[in-house]
Amino acid sequence: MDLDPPTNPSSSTPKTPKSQTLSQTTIRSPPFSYAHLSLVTPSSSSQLDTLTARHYLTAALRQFLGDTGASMAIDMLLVKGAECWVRVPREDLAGFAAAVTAYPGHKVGGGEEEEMLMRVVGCGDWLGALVGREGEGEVWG
Amino acid sequence: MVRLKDRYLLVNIVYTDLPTGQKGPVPDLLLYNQPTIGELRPQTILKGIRSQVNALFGDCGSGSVERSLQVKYLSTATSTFILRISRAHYRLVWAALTFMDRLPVKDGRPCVFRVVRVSGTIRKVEEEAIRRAKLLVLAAKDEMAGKASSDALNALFRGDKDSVRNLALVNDDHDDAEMDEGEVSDG
Repeated sequence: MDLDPPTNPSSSTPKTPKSQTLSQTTIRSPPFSYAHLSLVTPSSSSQLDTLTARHYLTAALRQFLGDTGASMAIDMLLVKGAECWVRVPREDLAGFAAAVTAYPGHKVGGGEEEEMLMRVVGCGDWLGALVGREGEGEVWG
Repeated sequence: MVRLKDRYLLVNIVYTDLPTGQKGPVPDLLLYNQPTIGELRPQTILKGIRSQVNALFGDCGSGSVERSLQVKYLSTATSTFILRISRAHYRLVWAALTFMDRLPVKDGRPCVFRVVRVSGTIRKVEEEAIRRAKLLVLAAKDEMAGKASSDALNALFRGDKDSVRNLALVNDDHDDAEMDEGEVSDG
């Protein structure tokens, strides 16, 4: 009994071509890094504004990195409530995070005894990942 | 054994507060490189550099520079000193020297701290100090003799080895005295 010869693959219906990569790129060194900072003060009704945050960061950088630190290019992206988001050049992120962490805070309000202290909630190269982490604390308790 | 690599900086003190338009018996070259009068000691130089590094680079910078910063040699007669600094952070010290504009003593004169040589070994720096002293003597002699631009002066400023070879270096007998005075090293 003759076995049917195997059907010729070229006579079958033509397959759809596989997906082709048109272009591929790897971002090795993004120009900026982002940091998410938060106010840590005893009084719960503290609101942050851009100038106060900017002044705090400059003082922290000046103490840790001197004049070269105080001249670091920091962009205030968003200041809302007790949180602020900033952007720094990528090569300065390590020094910036260390400066904010090392700073013991200072008094604001001229005459009032209100201590102001900020902490780094997160920092990284990608703003999307940093924002996405914001609700993490609530999810995991 | 991990080797701790250092850099040695040869620094000249150049005085800038000269009254202009004065043509005295002393050539200008010697006026700029005059001896340092006053209370300049290794400790005062270190204090001045450390405070400038702290101002420019903050706590982080002064911590990185503090361990290995040392004045190895200071000669007030030639206004020259040799600093030792760790290889990773010598540029912080160099930048601080650039920003210092007067002697770090009380009511210090305005001056410029000019780094003329950076080397990994102190021997090369010493040789360079001797070479520059010889060239300075020759250039001053040329200037006194009235030559507008001399080979020695060019060699002093450009540091070319070729132009030094072209000079007929006079056999001088006082170059040993250069390194004996003011020798400062860690005890």
